Parts: sequence; structure tokens; C-alpha cells
Amino acid sequence: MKKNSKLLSILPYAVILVCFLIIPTSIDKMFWYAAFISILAKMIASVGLRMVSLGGDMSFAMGAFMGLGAYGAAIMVTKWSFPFWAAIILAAVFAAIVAVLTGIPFARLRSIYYCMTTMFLGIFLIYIFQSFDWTGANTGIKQIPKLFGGKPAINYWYFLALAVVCIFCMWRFEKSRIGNTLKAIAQSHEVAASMGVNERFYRLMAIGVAAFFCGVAGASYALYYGSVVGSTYGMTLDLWIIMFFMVGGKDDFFGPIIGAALLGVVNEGSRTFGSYAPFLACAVLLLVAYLLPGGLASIPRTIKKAIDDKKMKQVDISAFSSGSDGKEA
Amino acid sequence: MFTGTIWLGIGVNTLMLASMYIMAALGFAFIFNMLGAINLAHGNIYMIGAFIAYAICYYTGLPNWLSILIAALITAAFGLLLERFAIRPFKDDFSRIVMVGVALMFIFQTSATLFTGTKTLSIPLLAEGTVRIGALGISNQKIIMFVIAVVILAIVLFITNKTKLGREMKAVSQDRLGAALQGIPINRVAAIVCAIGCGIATIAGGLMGSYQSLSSGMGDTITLRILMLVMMAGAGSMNGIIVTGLIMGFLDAFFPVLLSGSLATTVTLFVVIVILLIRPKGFFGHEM
Repeated sequence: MKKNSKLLSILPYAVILVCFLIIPTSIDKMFWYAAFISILAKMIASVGLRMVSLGGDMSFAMGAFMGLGAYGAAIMVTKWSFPFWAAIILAAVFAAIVAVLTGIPFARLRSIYYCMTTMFLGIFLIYIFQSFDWTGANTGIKQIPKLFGGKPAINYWYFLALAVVCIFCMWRFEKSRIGNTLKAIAQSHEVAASMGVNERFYRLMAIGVAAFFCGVAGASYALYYGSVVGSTYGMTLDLWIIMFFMVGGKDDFFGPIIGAALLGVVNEGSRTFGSYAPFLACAVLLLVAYLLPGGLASIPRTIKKAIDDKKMKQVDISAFSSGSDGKEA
Repeated sequence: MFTGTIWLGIGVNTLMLASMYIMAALGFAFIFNMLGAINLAHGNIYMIGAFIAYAICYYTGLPNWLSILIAALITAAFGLLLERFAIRPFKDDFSRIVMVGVALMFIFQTSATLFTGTKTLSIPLLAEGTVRIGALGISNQKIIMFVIAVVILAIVLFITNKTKLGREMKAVSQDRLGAALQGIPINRVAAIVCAIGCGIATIAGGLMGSYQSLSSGMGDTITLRILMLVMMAGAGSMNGIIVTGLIMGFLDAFFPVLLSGSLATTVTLFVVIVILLIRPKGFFGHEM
């Protein structure tokens, strides 16, 4: 029984992985490779957002941390001619350091003030890069040497492997003692603090880990794409990452993964409709908001609850009928 | 280094921008104070209202002030629907209200982009000519915008401070359950307030659209300004947004004089972040 339930819990991940293995290799390769690489990069960022949300915060700056990684890697490769792997890792560390340093004063803020101020922070960080000529101002950094010579197929396999490794690392992080501590802080930070938990330290650690993986995703994407433009890492990207996270559902680890996969495929697939494209993704958002309060990942739970309720109802009815029998007698 | 003329120019721009920001932010701030819900689509109602005003003006040939007024009525009616279908069902669920807000935001932006195409659109100016004060020329358009804003803000302040509706709004923002127990119809009050807010935001959008040109990006810009302004004022503060609106207006009028384009926005954002870090609940706010 236990083995069975473990298999069941791995099943959705396996299904998503198989989809990602089959779909881009079987149809219109060039288009779907590019689309899926972008989806995978945003998926890593939205799972990173889940790490932050474990501690009860919602950071609106995830897109900006991707942007930090992207700019960092681009500068290191073009200006200082670092090797690719060193640039990716150092850029990710840079994003994590910035996230932790800004996180120290931000720990004062709570709930909606935290969300909104991190949104301003994200826009601010990207605007810094857009303000100076050394980082390319508004036109961004162009002509970055491309990862694997810019071949889509190898890049796609690299991104898939990267996503699997990053998501597995974050899964381990969530299941570790740190993850449990963060969940305790999310439930009540006063109680957690009274138990001797250094609340601020754990929240900083969560944002650092999240920003590191966002940085890895952003740096890899910049090196694959060959150019970095600040405006692509602005408010819209922040909001899309949050949408991926929320459509999937914020109560399950699987949530951001299915959210990014579904919404990303809808969003990229509807490119063929030209400028009408965003309507389809918005329709998905509205449908999920109205019909699935817990997000996509809550569907099995909702069905199970419905079945249980039905069973409960049957029990109730039998109890009621026996009661009425008693009255008659 | 600054002469009197430059300071006077900054002062005029501050008042003009601040009045527009406050008008655009009113609806958002009311809903945020009363229900604790953030309606991210509100900034784009400002934008779509300006587009509706342009469309009425362009296709029917009505005078510009009348088309802005009709657009305000249309968006006010839309505000009723918005409150009923996008805010009321989700007001206690942060993630779903953000989802609906973002979806509406993208829908409005895409519609506006489709409508604009590659053209540059602009509502005709409300008033031509300039008034000269010393070496400084102030366009009549700016003066008219400011006067309209002051009149509207005076009416809104009268409503919030002196009438029954205003007292009901205050009661709801202090304690929703308590207000409901006293027999205040929370949903009806929220709907009326949302309609008023959307209408006023449209007037601001229309005025701004006749001063500058229309673009689908103006929704994003104003959304960011609204969020900064309301967060600086803090939750539960009805009159505080006028103070923070003036601060926002000053920042946006002052820094572009000193610094170039995006650097000015960077510094503005930095100042706002620092203010929020020093006052984590805003100037006049309370815990959420």
C-alpha cells in the first residue's frame, strides 16, 4: 500500500516529463524547442517562488532575479570572457547575494506590503541595468556568444536536464528540516519565534535559494537566446511567474510545475493567433480562478473529497431513515 | 543651481501629475481600504477609459469633454460589473483576486494594442494656448486638468467625510463584520464605490490622453504609480492618498529635470522603497 501511494505521488511528475520528452521532438521542432525552453526557464522560477511562499511570503520579484542572472551571465561572458559554466554559476550566486542583501531590510515587511514592495524592488533592480550605458541601457546587451553554438536541440536537452536537477534540488529543500521550519513560520511566525526558531534567517535562506535557481534559469536563458533586454524581465515577467504558480495551486509542490506547463503551452501555442494571443491564456486564468479555487494541482484532491462527501451522505441518509423509523414506532 | 522659474515649473508639474495620480488611485484605494482586496486591473481601466473617450470622440464627433464624460459613465457601469464578478467572489482570497486582476489587465492591454495598431492616437486638447508667469509658460490644458481634478477631489472628499455613504465606507474599512452587523450593505457600498472609482479614473485617463498621446503602455505606468501611492499611504487611510499623491507627483516632476529618462524612474522607485522600508505600513496605515 505504501509503495503504491509513493508510485502515485511520482506519477504526475513522470507524465509531465514524458510530455516534455515527446511533444517538442515530434511536432514542428524549431518552434516548440524555443517555446519549451522558455517554458522550462519560467517553470524553474515559479518553483523557486514556491520556496519563498513556504515561509508565508509572496515575492513579486522573481522575474527580476532571473533578470539579474541573465545580465550577470551576459556581462561576464561578453566583457570578461568567462567560460559558460562559470558565468552561469557566478551569475546565480550574484542573484542569490542580491536577494539576501535586499531581503534583510525587507524582512520587516509583511503580507501585502511585502508583495507590493518586492514588486517595486524587482522593477527597480531591472531599471538599474536599463539606466547605464555600460549595461547596454535600453537596448540591452546584444551578441552574446551562444550556449552550445545556439543549436536548439542540444539546448533543449540541456534545459530539460537543468529543470529536472533544479526542481529535484528544490524538492529536497522543501522536504528537509528547513522546509518544515518554513512551513511552521508560515502558519504562525509568533509561535515559531517563541519555539526558538530564527525566523528571519530561514526566510532569508528561502529567498536566497529561490533567487539562486532563478538566476541559473535566467543566466542559461540569456546565453541560449544570445541577447538580454531589460524590459523582458520587468513587471510582465514577474506577473507571469506568479500566474504560473497560482494557476497550478499553491498548496502542492506539483502546482507550479503543472501551472507552468499548461499555461506556458497555451501561451506559446497561441502565438499563431498573432496579437490576439494573450486572450487564450487570460481565458485559462479566469476559468481556473472561477472554477478551481485550489488551482490545477488540487483537482485530484477535489475529486477525492467529492467522493468522500458522497459516501458520507449515504451514511447520513441511512442514519436519518433509521431515525424516522424510530419515530414511527 | 535651480532658478525660480524651474522651481515654479516643477511645482506646476507636481500639482498636475499629483492630481491625475490621485484621481486614478481613488477607486483602487477605496476597494483596498474597504475589502483589503487589490484590484490590479484598476490602472488599466484608466487606460481603457481614455481609449473609449477617444473612440467616442473620433467616431461620433462629439466634443472632447462630453466624450470623456460619456466614457466615464460607461466605465462606471463597468465598475459595477467588475465589483460583482471580479472582486466580490474573491475578496478574501489573495491569489484568486490577483489572478483575475492580471487576466483583466492583459485583456485590456491586448484590446488596446489591437485598437491602436501602429497609429499614434490622441484626444484633442481641451484648451489651446498658454499663460505666461514671468519666463515660464503654463499651458491652459494643464490648468484645466488641475481645476477639474480639484473640483472632483473636493466632491469626493465631501462624500467621504460628510455623507452617509462616506460614513458607511469608513465603517466598513474599520471593521467589515461590525459594519455588516450594524446593517450596512457592504456589497452595495463596495459596488457604488467601485463604480465611482472607475469613473474618476476614466476622467483622469481622458485628461491625460488629451495632454499626451494614448498608448497601451500607459496602463502599466499608472498601475505602478497607483500601487506605490496606495502602499505609501497605507491600508485604511482615505485622506492619506492625497499626501502621498503629492509626494509621488513631486518625485515624478523633480527627478526628470535632474536625470535622464530611466535613471529618473530608478531613483523614484528607490525613494519609494526606502520610504516603505522605514514605514512598513505606510504613512497612515495599519496592520493588514
